[in-house]
Amino acid sequence: MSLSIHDQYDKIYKYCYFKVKDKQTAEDLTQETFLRYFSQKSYINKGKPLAYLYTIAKNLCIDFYRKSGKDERLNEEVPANDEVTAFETSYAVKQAVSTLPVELQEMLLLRYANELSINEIAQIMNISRFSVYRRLNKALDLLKGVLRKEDFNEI
Amino acid sequence: MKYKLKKELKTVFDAPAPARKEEFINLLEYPKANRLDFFISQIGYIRKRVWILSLLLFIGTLIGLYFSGASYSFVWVVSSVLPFVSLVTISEIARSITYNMDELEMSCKYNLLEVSLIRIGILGVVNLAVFIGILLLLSGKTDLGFIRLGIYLSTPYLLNCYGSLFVINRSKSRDTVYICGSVTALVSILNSLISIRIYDIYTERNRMFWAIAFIMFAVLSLKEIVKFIKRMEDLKWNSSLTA
Repeated sequence: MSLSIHDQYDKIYKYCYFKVKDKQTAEDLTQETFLRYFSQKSYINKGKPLAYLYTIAKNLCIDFYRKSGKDERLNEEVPANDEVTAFETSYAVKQAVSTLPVELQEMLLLRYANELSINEIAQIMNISRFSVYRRLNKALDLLKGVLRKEDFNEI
Repeated sequence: MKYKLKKELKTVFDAPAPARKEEFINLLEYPKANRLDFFISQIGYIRKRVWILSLLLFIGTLIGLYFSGASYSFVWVVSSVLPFVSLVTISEIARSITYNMDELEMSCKYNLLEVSLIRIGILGVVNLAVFIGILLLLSGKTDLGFIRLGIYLSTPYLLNCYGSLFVINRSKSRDTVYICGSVTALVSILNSLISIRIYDIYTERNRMFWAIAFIMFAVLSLKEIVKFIKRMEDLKWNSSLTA
């Protein structure tokens, strides 16, 4: 892998946690993602696109929901306050993000939290680069609409 | 507001710290890059200008040969331009040293010396390919032999290599590349002036002068390369002691 495995572990874990909202499960899925990623012998020396790592993680999360019988859509909230209060993030922004559709939240996570390129996001989400741009702008516009300017200025 | 928002979004999705990360990574047997991968990856770090300049010189020679045919004057023009190809190579090497790549080295599987040598090797192969290409094109068009022509073209190139490496081995400032640029310009102008002023410079009569100059600059360049490698090794030791 071109990037540090430590960094990627944190990012994939963050992605899985966003999907399953459970620390233990997220870490299991993260580890399973890496094991599957490196088990592809044809890519041992060439490496694989980063998007592939996310695709594995995404599919594992879908499998998890399928097996557990839960509905992914019911879990649309961003990590609840009790676990994340230690992190210095704005409650207002967090609440605003949680009002967005889950696809847009996922896109914001990939783009701003995990710092993926537009191209990589397009590959993971299986949509065009143009769609990624459009949806990201839409997400930011929606967020700005939700956040009252005066509230946000206090951040 | 948009900037602030994007900054906030970085932390909005933070998750609780993973509990089994270190244990998992230590036990994970993921495939590490081998020597060939490392070699290939270094090609990507060489700036585009190296490839472009090498290609331009090669195309320029082709065009020059097509329009003017090969002559002695064309030989000195080419030999005056060749040092600029070595300048681009030298600037790549200087970049590794002046921008503190030794810090990066400490976190890498390969040390700075290995990285530098691999890059020098790649760039040397590129320069050699351009040089041989030009030599093959020119040798068929002139009555100068392959070896003689090779010496005429490579001597200014070697002089520039020696001069630039001399500067790199003794300076660590960010202006090193500009000093190397000045050395290149000086070599190029000197070569042009000698070729114009001494009309029989490329004749049999000056065979000894060229042979001595070629050997002398080759030996001096080699000496500077050895010094460069030793310096890299010292740097490695210093980094180890201060880490």
